[in-house]
Amino acid sequence: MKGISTVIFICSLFNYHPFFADELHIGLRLQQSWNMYNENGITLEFTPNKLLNDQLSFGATYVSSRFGSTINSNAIIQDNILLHSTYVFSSSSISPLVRLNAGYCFADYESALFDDIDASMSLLSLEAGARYAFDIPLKVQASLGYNLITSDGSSGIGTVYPLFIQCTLLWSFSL
Amino acid sequence: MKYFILIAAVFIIGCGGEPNITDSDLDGNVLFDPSLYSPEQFLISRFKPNPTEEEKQKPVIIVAHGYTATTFEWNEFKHYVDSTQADVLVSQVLLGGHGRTYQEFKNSSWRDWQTSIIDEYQLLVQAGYRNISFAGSSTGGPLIVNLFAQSFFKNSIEPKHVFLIDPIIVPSNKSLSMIGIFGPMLGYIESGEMTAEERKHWYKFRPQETLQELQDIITITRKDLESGIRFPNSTHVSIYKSLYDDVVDRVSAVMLYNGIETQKPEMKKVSLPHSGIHVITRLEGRANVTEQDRVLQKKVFDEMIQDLKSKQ
Repeated sequence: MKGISTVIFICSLFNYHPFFADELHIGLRLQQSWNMYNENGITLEFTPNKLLNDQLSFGATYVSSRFGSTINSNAIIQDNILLHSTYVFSSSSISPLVRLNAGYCFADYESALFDDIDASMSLLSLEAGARYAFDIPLKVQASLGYNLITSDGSSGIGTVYPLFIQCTLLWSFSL
Repeated sequence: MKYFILIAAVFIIGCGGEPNITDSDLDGNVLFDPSLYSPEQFLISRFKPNPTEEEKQKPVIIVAHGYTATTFEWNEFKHYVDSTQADVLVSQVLLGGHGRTYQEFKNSSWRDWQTSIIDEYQLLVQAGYRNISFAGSSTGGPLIVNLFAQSFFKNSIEPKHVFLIDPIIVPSNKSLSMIGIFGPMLGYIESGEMTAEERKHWYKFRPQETLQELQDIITITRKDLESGIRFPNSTHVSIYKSLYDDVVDRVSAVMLYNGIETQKPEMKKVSLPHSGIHVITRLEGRANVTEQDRVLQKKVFDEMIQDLKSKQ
């Protein structure tokens, strides 16, 4: 009971009504690390109604080199699972945005010979870019990102590079 | 976070000028690699340009050093081979642009660096040598692997064995990937702590132009490996990669092992020693060397000699 009261209290702070939650966005994310792999995947974003004027959203993303550099190649398989929060600066059709990602990366070296090499690491990155909303329920986000955590050669996954660019196509559904 | 600091430093300092080179640095106009004065002491093609029939069958190994280094990097292997009377000929090439002056280094490309390896191989083949192998440390690795990607040996003598010692495909410091963006503002990067001995044999200052060349050759090699590099039928490969090396990321070994295709799977080997030393084959001039490092170096040398002399 106490938990429910807390949720209602937090929701009321943001003028948020769970039964009238605003939008769900589903889409594709295309990502290219600077001088490293191309990783693509799917993304899901949720924009709660009237939370900071509909300008803040939360989501989850899965991108992998399986759907990019690894296709027909010996590139290392790496899967990235991210939770993220995006803030767009205005509600107009074109707007700058910033985004914070946190998650994990998992690599598959395809041989027991490399069991001594780390096959997972945490991820933390920042992005800055822009969003364009079409008249139809389609949005495009493009941004430049920076991984704050990378391997130092002795730990982590060496193919996680600092700079990346990404483009996300989102289709919106009203809930 | 360290990259943010680096970027901020670039914008604030913007040190695009020339480095402060002293006469005790290899970068200056006083110290040069000794192979430039006495090539016959380093190159088998100069030492024995007219081999006997017996000598033509002997194993010859062309050893190539890394970025900013000199022939010094392979001296210990040469001395070990000589001291053990292993009956192996070691040809120490000096990469193009290296061992000279800062300016000559700055003006060189990775293709210039590679030319010395090609020249020595061709001179050895012309002289009649038939049992030729290669060893490359750090950047020497991708420079050699690139020759296979280009099918350089297609109509020539197939190398018998290729040894890759901490070959660089992915650097430990990922800021190298951004050198194309920030390099022109930096001008050059000064190496970290170096011993007096190291300053005689390694460039202290790294022109951003050469760092971009380094980034180019490792990117080209990585992409070639992703497509698969077919090695000649008789060529064996051994990869040695220290697990705690602060210069080359260990994932480089994965990329090389998965990307090199030999005739039989057992013709390629990978070893990942629990060492923090970048290029274990060179211990001389280092500040801290343990007995464990010496044991590991000897093990690597012995394995290399054994592979060079094997009848396979």
